[in-house]
Amino acid sequence: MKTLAVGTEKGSYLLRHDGEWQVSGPQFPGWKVTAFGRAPDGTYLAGLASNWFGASVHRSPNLVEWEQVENGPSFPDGMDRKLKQIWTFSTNGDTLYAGVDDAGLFRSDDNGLNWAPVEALNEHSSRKSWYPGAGGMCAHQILHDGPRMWVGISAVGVFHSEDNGASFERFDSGVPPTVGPDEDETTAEGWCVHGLTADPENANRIWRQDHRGVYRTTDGGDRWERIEEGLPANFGFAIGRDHASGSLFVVPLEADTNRLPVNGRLAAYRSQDDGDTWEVSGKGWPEAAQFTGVLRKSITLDQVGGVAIGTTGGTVYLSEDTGDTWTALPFAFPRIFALASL
Amino acid sequence: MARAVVSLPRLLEPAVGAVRKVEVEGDTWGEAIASLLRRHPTLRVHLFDEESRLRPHVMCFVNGQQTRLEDKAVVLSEGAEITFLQAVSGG
Repeated sequence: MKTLAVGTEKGSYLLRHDGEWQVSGPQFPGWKVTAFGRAPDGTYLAGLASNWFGASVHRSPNLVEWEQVENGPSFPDGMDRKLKQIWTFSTNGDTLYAGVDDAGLFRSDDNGLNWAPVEALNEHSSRKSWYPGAGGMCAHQILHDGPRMWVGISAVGVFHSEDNGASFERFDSGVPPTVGPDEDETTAEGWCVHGLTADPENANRIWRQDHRGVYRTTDGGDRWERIEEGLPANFGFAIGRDHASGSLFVVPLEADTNRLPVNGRLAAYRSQDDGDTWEVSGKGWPEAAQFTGVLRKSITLDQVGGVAIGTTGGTVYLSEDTGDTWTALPFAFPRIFALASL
Repeated sequence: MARAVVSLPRLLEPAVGAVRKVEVEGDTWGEAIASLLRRHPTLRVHLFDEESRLRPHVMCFVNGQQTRLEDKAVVLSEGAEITFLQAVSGG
């Protein structure tokens, strides 16, 4: 991992590895930096939010000079729906997507200069029954496979499109809703998906860190099955996959009422059998208790063995060998919202 | 048409770069704000919400008097000083 962008409560920071890790920043001092991405032409993207001002998209050719987009994602004037945060960027061919809070999906066909709402999702017929979780009501994860798309919205569920976003259906069968009896899947709302990752060689294989557990599907989301053997808790936010090895990573937290590592034992857990079983990922985790969490966008993989997680306490843990050994980088950051290997 | 100067806080640098003062013109407060947003459209999302209301944690002063800019028809006086600040909040 050569360059790691760290988005925090107070600005963003760049970590560059050239013999040893060097830090620069903050960029956007005083702003929350909530998402990073790349446009189809390679332009770097950052999502900013603020305790005072609005949420905005910024573009850069070099991670140094940034310019705010004039026609960024926005809900129509006069609507009580507010754009509070940019949660994620993704690309599919020449199209760039952004997921936001209040839950919405936007697309850009000019590398992020101009954005338009994806009406089929933003105005979905079920929207009147959507409601937020503790982190807001956010579209935070977007997966693509040609014309197929999956969008994770908290605390609503996973929406699937077969037609490039022209229509969406919710795909949560097998996952209990966040509120209500475990087996009640008849309710129309309330699936709090926290994270998604998919196999690029077979997009029907998707893994899901949910409010209510860890799941996988092998049929594109028609049916989800629980996969938690070996995990100390089934709650958590971050999930990622190293595609070459197939290794999966999650960071279990005790419960939604106490979003901290179980007994303070902070560690990523790794599965090397598609989620059948999990164990602590390698060595290098702190011996001392760590009362800190890992948020959903605070995991990144460079797909050549590098895996990094960032904590709400401001520490970045890094593995360069697909999770066999981990090192805590020697920097302390504000609360980490987002990590990206760039 | 009156001319006024708008002062912006340094925190808005990601939106407008090093600009701290903007000359605007208009007959009313509303026209002065429209003039500001024409020159710096990236400010709109930061100063105003989707209902065109001043964001709750943004403060505005015109000639030292705090206003929420609800009445945009107020006559703009020549040489008026319009100041935007972030409120004391945030953590």
